[in-house]
Amino acid sequence: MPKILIKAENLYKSFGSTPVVSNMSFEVYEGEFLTMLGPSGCGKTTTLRMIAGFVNPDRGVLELDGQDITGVPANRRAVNTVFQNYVLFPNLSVRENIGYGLMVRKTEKKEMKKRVDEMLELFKLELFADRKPSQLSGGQQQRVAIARSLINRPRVLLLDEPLAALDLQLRKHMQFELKELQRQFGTTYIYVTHNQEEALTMSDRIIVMNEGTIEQTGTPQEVYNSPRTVFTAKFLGESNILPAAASGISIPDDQKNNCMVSIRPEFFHITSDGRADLPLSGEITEVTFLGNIYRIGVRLSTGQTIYVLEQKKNLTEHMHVSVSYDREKLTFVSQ
Amino acid sequence: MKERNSFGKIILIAAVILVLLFLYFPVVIVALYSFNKDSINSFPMGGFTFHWYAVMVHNQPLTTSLVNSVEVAFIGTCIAILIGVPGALGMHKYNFPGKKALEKVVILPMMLPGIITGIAILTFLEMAGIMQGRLAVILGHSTFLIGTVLPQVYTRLRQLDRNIEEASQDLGASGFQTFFYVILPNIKTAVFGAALLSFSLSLDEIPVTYFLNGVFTTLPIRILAMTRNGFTPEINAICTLILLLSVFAVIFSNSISKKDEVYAKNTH
Repeated sequence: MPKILIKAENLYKSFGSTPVVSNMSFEVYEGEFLTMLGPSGCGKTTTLRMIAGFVNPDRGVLELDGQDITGVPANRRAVNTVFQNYVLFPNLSVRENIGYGLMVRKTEKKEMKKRVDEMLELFKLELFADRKPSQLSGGQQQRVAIARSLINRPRVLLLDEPLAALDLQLRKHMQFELKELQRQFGTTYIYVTHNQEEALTMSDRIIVMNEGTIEQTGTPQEVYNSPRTVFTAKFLGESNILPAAASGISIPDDQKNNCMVSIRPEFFHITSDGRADLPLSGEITEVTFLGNIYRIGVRLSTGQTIYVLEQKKNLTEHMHVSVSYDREKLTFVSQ
Repeated sequence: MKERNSFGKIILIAAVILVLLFLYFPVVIVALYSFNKDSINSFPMGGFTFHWYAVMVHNQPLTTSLVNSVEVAFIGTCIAILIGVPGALGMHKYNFPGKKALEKVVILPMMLPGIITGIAILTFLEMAGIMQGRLAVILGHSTFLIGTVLPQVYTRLRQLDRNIEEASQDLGASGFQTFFYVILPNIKTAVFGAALLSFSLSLDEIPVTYFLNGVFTTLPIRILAMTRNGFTPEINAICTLILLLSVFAVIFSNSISKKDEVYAKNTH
């Protein structure tokens, strides 16, 4: 069992009368890449800011390394933040930005230079050391921001949608770099994003959040393959949510509360031979070419449209088809 | 179409020339007369001389009032900066009820007619037991100069990234370190510009001073008094001197704030 680094108990925060985070409890293990995933306004950034120390929770306890840090100001927490828009200091050079954390802690000059040089080299910023942030590209600014946060050797690095401002290609590249860096240093990452693809590819564990509460916690495989709620099923990838009754499935006793089932589009299969023993049938309403596969919309007799990923097999609009699915890929979910 | 275009162009150019004439012709005349050999302001000028500058220098009440003015402007500006900058920081940092209203109210002294500001401050200082004179003038000037400094610094702070303080704090900096390493360097041109503006506003301020000075005279009050007993050409000389200083100040403050704007644009 890995060591618990951060422990949050019943964190609660409201702005005005609206609770933004209500009773969040979770643990962060040493060395893991944990992602808080959710739509904007779900409270993930506020949770991150509570860990950073910018926001004080109204109720609840935060522990770092077994120490209660709930009221400790941000400048005395062993956590550092990478902000969404980098927030580099415009008046300082790249070198001074990176060395800032050491400078304010009055680190010895020689030691400071050595460590800044290391960072410049690691992030391939040697050539830009004397430039101002305004003279850097987005990707370079991003690297300065990360280097600046890592130089204090934080126990936990907090990343608030750090890739949101980058274009797709650079984002893909930085995803890889961030993950590499995390492996190399073994630093614990808490990563906040609304991008489910980013969360799935980078994380060791994901906390799915919605409306200030945790919907589900688990590995990317767990939350993707076995969503427990309709929200999780729909937020991570595409999912078809059907009333259990309509899918012709008998609900096991331990799932009595969950009257919905979630089936991923890739686990449906369309047969056009009109077999009556299959529970679902309907009319094809749309056929979309996605490159390697087709996305096919089928309007069921109940009126609901489901989406299926399928090799084309001569399927066209207005065809009447039957749909089957893999029993073991089906998940019971609650509202 | 082309005809109308060029007609419009002529009107616009004429308007620009008119504006420039209205603004600067009288000023240029004053400057010219300061070198006039005759003691009466009239054309044609009797010849070129620096005589009036010499007269000006030896006019003791005039030079005393100039020193007084510079002293008031300097101390008033310092007080306005020392109160206005922290005030702007506080307004930027904290949300409080009535903040929106306060944002509008702080600049009120600049918009209120000087007479009203003058009477108000006079009444207040009398209540506080402060006699008319040097101290009253300095306090009066500080009051309306805060209204100059605060909005300028506040506007600059709002252009800064809100998270910049958090970033500094996050890296371990104390509040003081954050202010001196990050905030101040990013607002220093605004502070400097506000100081220059305050200084020149104070230097030629009449209405507020008029209510508060008592026997203490500042340069504009002195000049006003001198013109009552007939206009003497050394007034032209001192006006020209002040004009020259103001022009330099304006060019200087414009050039630094320009540089800063470009800078701000690049960082956002």
